[in-house]
Amino acid sequence: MADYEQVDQEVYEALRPPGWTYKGAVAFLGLGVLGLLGAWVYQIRTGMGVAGVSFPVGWGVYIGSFVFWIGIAHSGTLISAILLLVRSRWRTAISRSAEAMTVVAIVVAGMFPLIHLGRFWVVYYILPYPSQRQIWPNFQSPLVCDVLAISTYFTVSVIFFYVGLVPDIAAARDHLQHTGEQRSRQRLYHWLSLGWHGRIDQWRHYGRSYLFFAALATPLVVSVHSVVSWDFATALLPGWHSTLFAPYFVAGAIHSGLAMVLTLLIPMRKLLHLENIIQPKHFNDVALLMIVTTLIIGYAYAIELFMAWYSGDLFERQFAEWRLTGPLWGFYPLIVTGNVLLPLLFVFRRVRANLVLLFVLSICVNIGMWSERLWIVISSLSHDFLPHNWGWYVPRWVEIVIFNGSICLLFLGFMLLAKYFPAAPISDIKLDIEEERTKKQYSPRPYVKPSELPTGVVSVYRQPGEFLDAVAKMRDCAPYGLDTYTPVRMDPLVPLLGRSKSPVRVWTLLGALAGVAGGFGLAIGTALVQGLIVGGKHPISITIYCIAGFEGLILLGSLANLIGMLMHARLPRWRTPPGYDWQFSQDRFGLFVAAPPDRFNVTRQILESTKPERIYVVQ
Amino acid sequence: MAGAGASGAGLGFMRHMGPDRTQDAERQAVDPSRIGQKLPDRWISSAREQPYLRPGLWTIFATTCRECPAGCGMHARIREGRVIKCEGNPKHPISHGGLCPRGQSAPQGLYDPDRVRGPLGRPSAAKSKIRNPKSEIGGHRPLPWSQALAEVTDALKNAKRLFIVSDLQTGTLAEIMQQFHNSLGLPGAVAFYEAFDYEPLRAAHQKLFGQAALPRYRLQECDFLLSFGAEFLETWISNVEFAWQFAQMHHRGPEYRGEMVSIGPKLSMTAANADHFIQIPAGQEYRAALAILQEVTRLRGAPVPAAESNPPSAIRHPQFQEVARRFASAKNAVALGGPVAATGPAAENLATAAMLLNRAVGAVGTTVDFSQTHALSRTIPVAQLEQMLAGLTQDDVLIVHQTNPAYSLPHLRAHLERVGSLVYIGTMMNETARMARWVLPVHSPLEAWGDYEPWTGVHCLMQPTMGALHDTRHSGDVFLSLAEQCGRPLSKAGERVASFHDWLRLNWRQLGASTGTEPETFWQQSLQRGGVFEQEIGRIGHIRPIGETEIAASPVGPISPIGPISPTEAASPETLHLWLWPSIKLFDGRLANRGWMQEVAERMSTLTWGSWVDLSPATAQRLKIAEGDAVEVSNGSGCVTAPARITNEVADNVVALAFGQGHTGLGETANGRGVNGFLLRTRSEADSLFGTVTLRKTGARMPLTYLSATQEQHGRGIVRWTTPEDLRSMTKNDAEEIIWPGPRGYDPRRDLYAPHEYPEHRWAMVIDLDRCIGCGACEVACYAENNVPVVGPGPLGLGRTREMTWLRVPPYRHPEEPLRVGFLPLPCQHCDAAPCEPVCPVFAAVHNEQGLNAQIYNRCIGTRYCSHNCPYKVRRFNWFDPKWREPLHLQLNPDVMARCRGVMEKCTFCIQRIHYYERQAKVEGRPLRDGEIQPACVQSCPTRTLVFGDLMQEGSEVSKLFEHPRRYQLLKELNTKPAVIYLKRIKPQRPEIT
Repeated sequence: MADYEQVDQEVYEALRPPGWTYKGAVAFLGLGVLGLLGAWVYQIRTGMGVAGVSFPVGWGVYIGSFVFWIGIAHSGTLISAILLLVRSRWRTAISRSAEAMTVVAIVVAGMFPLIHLGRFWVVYYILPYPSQRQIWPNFQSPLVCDVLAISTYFTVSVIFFYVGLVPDIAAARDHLQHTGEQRSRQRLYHWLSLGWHGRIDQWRHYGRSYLFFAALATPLVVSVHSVVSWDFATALLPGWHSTLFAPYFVAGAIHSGLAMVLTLLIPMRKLLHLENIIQPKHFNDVALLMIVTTLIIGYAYAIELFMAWYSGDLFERQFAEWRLTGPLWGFYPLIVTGNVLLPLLFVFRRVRANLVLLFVLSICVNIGMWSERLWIVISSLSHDFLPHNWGWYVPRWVEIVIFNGSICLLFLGFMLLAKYFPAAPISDIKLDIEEERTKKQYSPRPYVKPSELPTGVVSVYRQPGEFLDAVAKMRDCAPYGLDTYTPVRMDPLVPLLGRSKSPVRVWTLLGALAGVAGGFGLAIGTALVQGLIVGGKHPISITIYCIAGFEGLILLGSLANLIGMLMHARLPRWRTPPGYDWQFSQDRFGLFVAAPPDRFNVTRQILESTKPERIYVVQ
Repeated sequence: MAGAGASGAGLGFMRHMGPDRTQDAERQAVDPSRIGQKLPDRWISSAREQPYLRPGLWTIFATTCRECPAGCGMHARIREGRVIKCEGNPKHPISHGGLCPRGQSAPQGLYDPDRVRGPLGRPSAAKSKIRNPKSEIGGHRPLPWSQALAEVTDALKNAKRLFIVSDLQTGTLAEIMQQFHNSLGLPGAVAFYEAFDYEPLRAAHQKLFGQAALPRYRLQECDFLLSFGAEFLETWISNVEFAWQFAQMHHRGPEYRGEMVSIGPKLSMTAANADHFIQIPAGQEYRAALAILQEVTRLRGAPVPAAESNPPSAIRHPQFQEVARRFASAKNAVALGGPVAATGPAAENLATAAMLLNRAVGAVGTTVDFSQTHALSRTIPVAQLEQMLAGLTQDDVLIVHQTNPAYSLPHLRAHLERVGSLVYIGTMMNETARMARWVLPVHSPLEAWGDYEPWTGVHCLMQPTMGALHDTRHSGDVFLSLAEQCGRPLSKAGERVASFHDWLRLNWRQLGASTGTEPETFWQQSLQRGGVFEQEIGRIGHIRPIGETEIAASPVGPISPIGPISPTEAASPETLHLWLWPSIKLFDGRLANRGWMQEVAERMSTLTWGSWVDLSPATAQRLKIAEGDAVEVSNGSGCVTAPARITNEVADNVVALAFGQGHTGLGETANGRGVNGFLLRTRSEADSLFGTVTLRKTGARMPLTYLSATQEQHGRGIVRWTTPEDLRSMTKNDAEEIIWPGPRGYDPRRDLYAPHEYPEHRWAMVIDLDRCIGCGACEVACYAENNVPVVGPGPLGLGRTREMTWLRVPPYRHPEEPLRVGFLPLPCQHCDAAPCEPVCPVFAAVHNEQGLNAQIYNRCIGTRYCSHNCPYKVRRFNWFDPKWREPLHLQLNPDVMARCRGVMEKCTFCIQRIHYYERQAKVEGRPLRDGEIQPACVQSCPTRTLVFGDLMQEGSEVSKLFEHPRRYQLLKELNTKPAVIYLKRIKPQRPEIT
């Protein structure tokens, strides 16, 4: 691994103003997105009939793509959150890109349910808001569960993405301010960084909070595609009505998400020159993980057919047979090849090491997975219980333009995020380097207060070990308090400065509890207002309200976590703290010891004994 | 039925049938041509002119359906002065409360956007080159009535001869036309022309009994019914009446059940309802009839006609022998001969054989009653009409009234072009009207007074149900005015009559005089009832019975000699027998401009909006024709190109084509759809009923869009059959298990949720599949009642079905017998545990407290999940904004919301009617009566297939029928607990004929 400077150099290089190739690509993708908007407006004004969907196949490319994109959105949070929890080192290099992809993919995915609505203009009926008519949405509907799951997933992913970005944006801000380039970006980064300066109390709450985000996001990742799969599994159609669906969909989601990571990162790494940060071994690890998902999916395919036969159900059996031999027969070999047979090649080391092959295979998986989603949606609809209703589906140009636009939107969004925000998590990568450099243990001490005066002495260190030694030394001779500025989270500082564990965890717990109560309360309360019976069920059907409760838990837990973190870390704070230097967010460690002017010399003398790179006084 | 305004038949708020017409009569004296006032620049209801109409309440007028010559009794339901819906008149002796799809579509005829809205004329042929396209309608310019009448009068004055060709009329209008012709004193004739004139039947009856008439059949009294391609449940003479009779015959007591055998080359809708359908090659129909006849006469010991001319081996076909045995041994047997549109000697022979069969078992005089004949007997045979028109010259005037010879006799167009002055009097700007020099628009039957006598002694009355929509006049008044302007005013009994209405009143005064009722009371009663039906006609008519000896004396009897029955015929492989058939929807094509008639599926094929030709799989394979290949069918008289449909419904040597499409000038909806079957209609001289045609594959593709993807059941038990034997042997516990809607269907081992309670009502329906003949009247009734939009052929193309029908009647085949069909009326099942409801995110699909699966249209956001989760797929999505070309929107039912694009809609059991009667019962302070509420589909059904009612009401008909031994639930295993129960169709188990 490179050192700090190298990391900074590569990442900042990627943030440089775009060239003509980039602009051309953005314009090209933008056209595709404009096409999407145009086609959508045309569809809204004329009616759903302009699309190929009809009776009985009322869902087609739209819902198939929705499921596909939601799947794509899974890998980002998976990589960032789950791999963080299991302390998988290789995640850092690709986590930012994966998260960016997640955020964009959720937006793209979330668009499709809106596009497929017959009356888009009254979409707000689906939101639980206190309308004058006192009509609430039906929390028993899997579609409302979808709304809850996706909006929660979107919110949490955006927060997660943003929180992870804050120290890096601060670093980029300082870098730009130092070089004096790109004024507008400087301003943007200034606001977005929320006044992050890498002080001990910022890092302390931040680190804890980020862990809780990961802890909350992990079940969310698994749940979102489960909820999406229940859109189908709760229906009684042959081919949909199966308990297999949740794991089947989640595995597929991660499968395609990882494939999309490869599809996006392999070219991005080249284009943005991130070869040192994102290395072939990272792709190797992604491919290894995909072997696991491949096997799960292969199992699901097999078990689906087996269950159709084993159930003895006439409809299921005929349906399974029709799927394989009917007019949609072409899908099955395509899906099995794309999703199972080809990715199984990843067991060969040489395949995993060959980036071109990885890229091609990842695209095959994407095609296979999109086809699978479409196939699941349309096959069950076109061949259900009463044969006279059997139908057929052929997409029309509106659907094709819109789907094409969605691909453009994903690439466009990803390109913009990669160009405008640090494309790799600078501080995380530095932390990985850091953990190799600092091994020394320090004994805990009582609380050392932060600086109380705006004046004092600042010493700058290149080596974290020297910096920590200096802090250990200075904590006893700083009657007016001291502050540390570090480019990475430094866990030894916490005991060293007598800090306890962050109270953010209490916020998170309270938020989560409030969320569970709120979710159930909303569902049950609104059901009581209306008392409507659907499907012969009692208005209060606890089983399915669990989804509302769960999403409430995650959502409010995350929000409370965020608020707690901001409050305790005293963010946002727009003024630069005393003694702060732009290098402190890059590769230097700063120690500010507050002192009135009459103590400058004393303090300076002590600090000089800690072998700093330089010392300066703040007046 | 009591006096005016009394609420008979529990129609409550609706003024039942009879308004006081005195005021109208007075006003008519001032302006004889109108009832309501025409407001030319706005579409406004004529309620202002009709003080007896109360806004917000339904009014019902009894009138007579004139969509075909059957003359069914009709109730027009009026709101705010507009006809919304037409229904059967329950007290009518012909329709018994039912109405066929054609009758149901009457309002669309009234509001047809392509109706002629004012008089039109065009310069004579010499001047016609100068045209102003803006003001012209097909080369015609609008004229004021005065000018139009003056011009026609001029033409009449200069005419050498005058011919009047009208659709079938009896009574006052026929009298006026005849008198008009007489008073002008010109040579010529008045001819009543119908495209389907049953001339072979009449000719046969002429030969046999000296009476060229169509007798009244009493099928309900017979036990064995034998049909030789007579589509009597669809189009044959009086289909609604026959449908009712057929249902009666099929369901006379639990033990006793009539049987029907159909013999012919095509499995028509009627044949699909036969207990046995025997498919024979075309060209053999009359041989088959003769074979049976010979066997029957042998069995009955009567002289055998024409026996010697046929080799006995061909006749002694075991199937026919069995049919003959049953025919001869039945207590009452009736044979019906010949398809509707057949002409020529083969058809005549077939009709003769059928009637001889009736005679052989003594049916003539009892179940086949010549004392009452059908008005169709008065129509002019096509051959005569051809002769008449062939002689037309420049000096003649031809008045065509409400009929379309230019379409139905396409080879006579040249004659029509030759006539000096062609005057068209009618409602539609059809092919004939486009050839006319003057077009005089008249009231639609729903706007007009009139009388019609379909069967002898059945006097049906028509009354205006609303004010005239356009600048039209009554046909009778047009003739009266023309006579007056010609200086020869018409008079009745020496007295001048000012208007058609007066003439009608005079006639009915005479009719009433014979009953001894006070004239005004008689008139009011007739208005309320829809006519006078009581006059009993003696059963034994004045038939000249043909002597047995007479038949025996001639070696061939009245039947021409024939060859032996042979399964294959020596002909070139491309030569096939033609089979032309009118569908129940489009009939002879006059209704083709109605969206409902185009969009509702054809009964057997489930195709819409076009033509196709049926070919058997063997023929298709032989000629290498695939489904959807464009095929050119030609014979000496014409040539058409239509897509091929491969089906086992037709015999191997047949190509079948329906009438009704291929219009070039009827209106926007009809024009350019499909092909005109009349182009191929010939008076065939050979054995074949319709002659032979040559087939040629053009190489083009014309894909077909079926509204039912398949008719196979795939072992799913969707339409189920049982046999009388099984029914007899079963005990009460043998009935199939059903899961009741409501608390009774609760089973703790199966249900996750508590029993579903209902406070007051639980609406339910029972559908007797054995009664359903598949006519589709319910479908059209539903369109009319519920503002179901017509989508049009475009969105239906490319394999996409986007039609909006709330109630489908798909045909399904028997799992083992490929030619046995059951029709499945499929409305919303109003499940107790409806899968569509919980998936809706916004509670647009909810269960109401009366058990209805309700859809709240303005709540729907259009996710379509409900439709997907409905195992019956009875929900319909508005893929586009519905369009009603003006003034079709005037037909919209104000009690039912019209839905916009993006909204799911569905059958509601006509919730608006339920609420209407609930309110009514509340106002009257009484509980709802069982059977009081009839959803549109239930009301329309000619065979009483559907029964609707409250499951929670003790002893209601539905709750009794829920215990019926033939009951079953569709897809019961899904535990949706549907509230629609089906009763199995019955198929015979006795020694098979087929």
